[in-house]
Amino acid sequence: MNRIFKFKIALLLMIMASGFGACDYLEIAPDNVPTIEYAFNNRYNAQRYLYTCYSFRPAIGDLDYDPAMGGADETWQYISYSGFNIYRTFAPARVARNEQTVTEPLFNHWDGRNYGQALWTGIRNCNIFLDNIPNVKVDMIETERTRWIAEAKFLKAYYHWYLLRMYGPIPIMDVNLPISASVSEVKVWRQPIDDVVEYIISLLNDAIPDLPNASEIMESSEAGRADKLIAYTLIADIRLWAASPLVNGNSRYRNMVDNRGVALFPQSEDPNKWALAVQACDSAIIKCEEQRKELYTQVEAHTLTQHPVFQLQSTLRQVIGDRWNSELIWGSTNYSNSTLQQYVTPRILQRNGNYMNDLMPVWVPTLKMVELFYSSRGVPIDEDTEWRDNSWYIDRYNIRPETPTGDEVYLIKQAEKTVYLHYNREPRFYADIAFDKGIYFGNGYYTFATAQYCNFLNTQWSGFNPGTGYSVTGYATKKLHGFTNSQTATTHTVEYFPFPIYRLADLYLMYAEAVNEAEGPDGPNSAKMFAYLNEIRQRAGLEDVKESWRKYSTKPEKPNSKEGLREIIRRERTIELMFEGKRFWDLRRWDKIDELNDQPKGWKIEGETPDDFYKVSRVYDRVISFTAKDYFFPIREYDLYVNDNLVQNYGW
Amino acid sequence: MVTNLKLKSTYGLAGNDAVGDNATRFFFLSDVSMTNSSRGAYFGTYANIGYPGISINRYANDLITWETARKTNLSLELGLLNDIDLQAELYYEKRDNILMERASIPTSMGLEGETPKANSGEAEANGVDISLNYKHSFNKDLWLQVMSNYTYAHSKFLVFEEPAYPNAPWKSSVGYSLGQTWGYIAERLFIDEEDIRNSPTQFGTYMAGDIKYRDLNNDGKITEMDMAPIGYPTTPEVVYGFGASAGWKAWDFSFFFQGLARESFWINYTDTSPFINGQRALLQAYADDHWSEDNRNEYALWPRLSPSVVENNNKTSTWFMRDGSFLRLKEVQLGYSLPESLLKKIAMHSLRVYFVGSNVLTFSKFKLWDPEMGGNGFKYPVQRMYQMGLQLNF
Repeated sequence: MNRIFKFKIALLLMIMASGFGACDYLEIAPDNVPTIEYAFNNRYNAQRYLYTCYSFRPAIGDLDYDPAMGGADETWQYISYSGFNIYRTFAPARVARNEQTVTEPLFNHWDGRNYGQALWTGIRNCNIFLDNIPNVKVDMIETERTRWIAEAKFLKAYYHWYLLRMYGPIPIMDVNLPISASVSEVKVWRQPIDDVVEYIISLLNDAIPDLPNASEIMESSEAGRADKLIAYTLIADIRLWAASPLVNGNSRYRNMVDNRGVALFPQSEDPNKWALAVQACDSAIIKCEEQRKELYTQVEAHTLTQHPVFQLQSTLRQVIGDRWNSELIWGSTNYSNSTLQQYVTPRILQRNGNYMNDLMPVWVPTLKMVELFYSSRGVPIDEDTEWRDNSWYIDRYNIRPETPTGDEVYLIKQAEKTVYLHYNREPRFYADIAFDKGIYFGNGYYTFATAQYCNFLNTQWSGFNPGTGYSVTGYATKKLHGFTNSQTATTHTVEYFPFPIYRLADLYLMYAEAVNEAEGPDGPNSAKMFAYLNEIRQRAGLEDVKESWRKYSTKPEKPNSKEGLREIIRRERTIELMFEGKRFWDLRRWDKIDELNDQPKGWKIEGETPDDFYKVSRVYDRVISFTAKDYFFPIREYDLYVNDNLVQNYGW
Repeated sequence: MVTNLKLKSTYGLAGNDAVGDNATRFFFLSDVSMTNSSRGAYFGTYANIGYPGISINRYANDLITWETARKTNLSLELGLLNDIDLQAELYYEKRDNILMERASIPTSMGLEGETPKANSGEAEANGVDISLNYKHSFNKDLWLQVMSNYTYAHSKFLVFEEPAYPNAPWKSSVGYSLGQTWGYIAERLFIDEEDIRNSPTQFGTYMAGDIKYRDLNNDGKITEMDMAPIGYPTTPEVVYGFGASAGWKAWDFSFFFQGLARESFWINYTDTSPFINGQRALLQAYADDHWSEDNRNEYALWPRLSPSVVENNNKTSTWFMRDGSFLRLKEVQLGYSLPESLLKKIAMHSLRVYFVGSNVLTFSKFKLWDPEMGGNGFKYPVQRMYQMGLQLNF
């Protein structure tokens, strides 16, 4: 018995020994195949993995890849006919023309197709980074490791947020599912909006202590990376979104229930969400002020000796153009913006009867945006008593017979004629919009005597001219290109600026909106709310809200009611942040998609004389009709076949 | 009478570990690109300080294993009267653990690089292989030899990882051959703009004279979801041949036919479109039978002519699907050998005069070009050849 037992043991050992031997023999791993572990074998490689996590940031402000640039009613552009591809059509224009589909959605950030960034892949990479960064030994400094971890958490939260805003309820991918997960495991569900919001915010709160202060970011090499202020502002933005009418108890989405019976949208309105938004905006503003963020009010050196009209205009143009200034909270650094500047800058002078073909103002404001800017007295032109009493509003599309006089000559070319609409407007209008006969101060011409002007009549230098890129509305932007770019008859140069993802004025306007919604115009925070609104208006050369309306508006009581003030705040936000990729999302958040159905209009650009040119015309030959389905992006139809636990978005 | 009779049967398990190609030998390990500029990020004053990033080509997957095939063969050898020789084989193979792409992984997993694979597929194949030969010398002047063969092979997927297609069951690969093609069902050509307006939306810009497809799931648009299995597999399921040789005195004669059946091919729309790049010629058949403003034949061979490839028509569809079956007289030969008595006089060992014709006849439903050339008739064709020859031996 004993002997047999010993024999068995011996046999067992032999089998095991041979078994291990065989395993060792077969376990040959090649040396030259880099694996994921290899990417974390030292600090240098790990840093590149962190940059990989950053590489998935949607290209905010890019004319091709950001749907919010040109996807709404702020700007328009012509259709590019095949064979004439030198006139570029940017992809967001297809969203603006309502060409979205479920079979191959535009800006598909869910799958990373058709102008979309693969955000789920970005999130998976953040998780891989977070899983592996503790293992990095070589050259790794602990303080840096904690900062990088916080940055990866920030990005993971940001990518979830971008998806949330596009699609509404989304799955939460806090940990990576293994590659061998079963079919039922990989079929994840979309999570209710409130859960996703709380998840993202807790992730951001988790990251904030280890993120650097804005002052610790080395501008020369790190500007654009995540810091505490960006995270606080992001929280404020998310809280504001969650409180807004689109998702806060909107009855349209009450029936959106998945196959588990889980309701994906909040079932009733929760007014407390506005209070949370006030809180989040407030703490973000406090942090920003602690870290010396302030509205940009510098006067360009070029301009110090010039007329005050020019001084103010240069300040307003440099809010965006002066790179990394005190107002900027987060600048986008993931694309070169020279394309943007090339396609938004009007030609401001003539070259021997020819045209500069490398400047193509094709991404241009609609007439609607032009009309949205306030009067020179800081109220809407259809409310201004002066505009009413002088019939300027009724006559706004008519040519003013008198040529510019007095200070008007700093805004409109002397001895030229243009419509009433272009006179008596607020400084931001003249700083943001290039219009026919409008003086173009800057861009190489920094005195009154040398300043150029635009001429949008057909065959004139700024206007329509077959064979080159042209404005389809008869306007162009002054806003999204540098004041210090220069333009001569044959060349132009471009100064880089980071496109603003968040700037302080945006945060102030978020705060104002949240306070008004939470407590109306007379609540405990109203003084602070008006102070922020007025700070923005003062910078723009306008009087305070209440004063302006009382003195100049046909509706003097407007700021005293919640509804009236809501209108004022939204309009202020639209004007201040125009062309910055905000209105696209704001209209959705406000549940105001109908705004997009005002058909885009401009002047009759084929007109060669002022009389022919100044005729209001449709700039698109089909009727645009957005409906409730357009509040959210569609999930690609194929994805619903692969994962039948997903519910398609409303209306798609 | 029965000179030879043999029955054989085998059953075996075979493993196949050659599941990846050479480049992916270490299939279970992850593979990353350490320098991928599209995964880089840049920061700083001018947004130009940064690094390229890292991308993943393949994730580690240590559950990958080999494929297993269970093979059953049954064969018969039969010889009759020393003249007839029959060999027949039936086989059946069931293969499981087939390594295939995991089509059911949603993009929310966030994977990049190649689609992960798993040993999830199952397929079966069966077929017959028959050859029958006859050989006989009737007397010293007359002999005859006949040979024939026939193979039939059919395969189908039993398990295939794919999305659930609740509204489009025709998309499923289960039950179909490994060589099955999916495509659109072409109904006819569009008659006019009115017709287009009243039909589901299709691809790109299209107009009257372009192909109209069937909207299988009735969702008002033609999409990938409307692709159904069409035609036979692209490799023939049946291949056969037969022929005979005979000799009578100094004369000899032989012929051989070859054929295949149960195969489909598609006329290559892009490769045979006329006028493309301004230089491609117009096939007479297309010239004779195409849709035009004056000849609005909605069933014309060729849709609307266009100087560029029309995306709408350039889809795999039944419009250009053709039956690839054919039977070909591969070779026919007639020879005459000089009798020995004559040879001796001219001091030769042998002298034979012969005539050979190759690819002499082809029987096929497809007439535009040789069906063996597949979808593009502009390639170098199969040649028909006639040869006269003289064979001398000293």
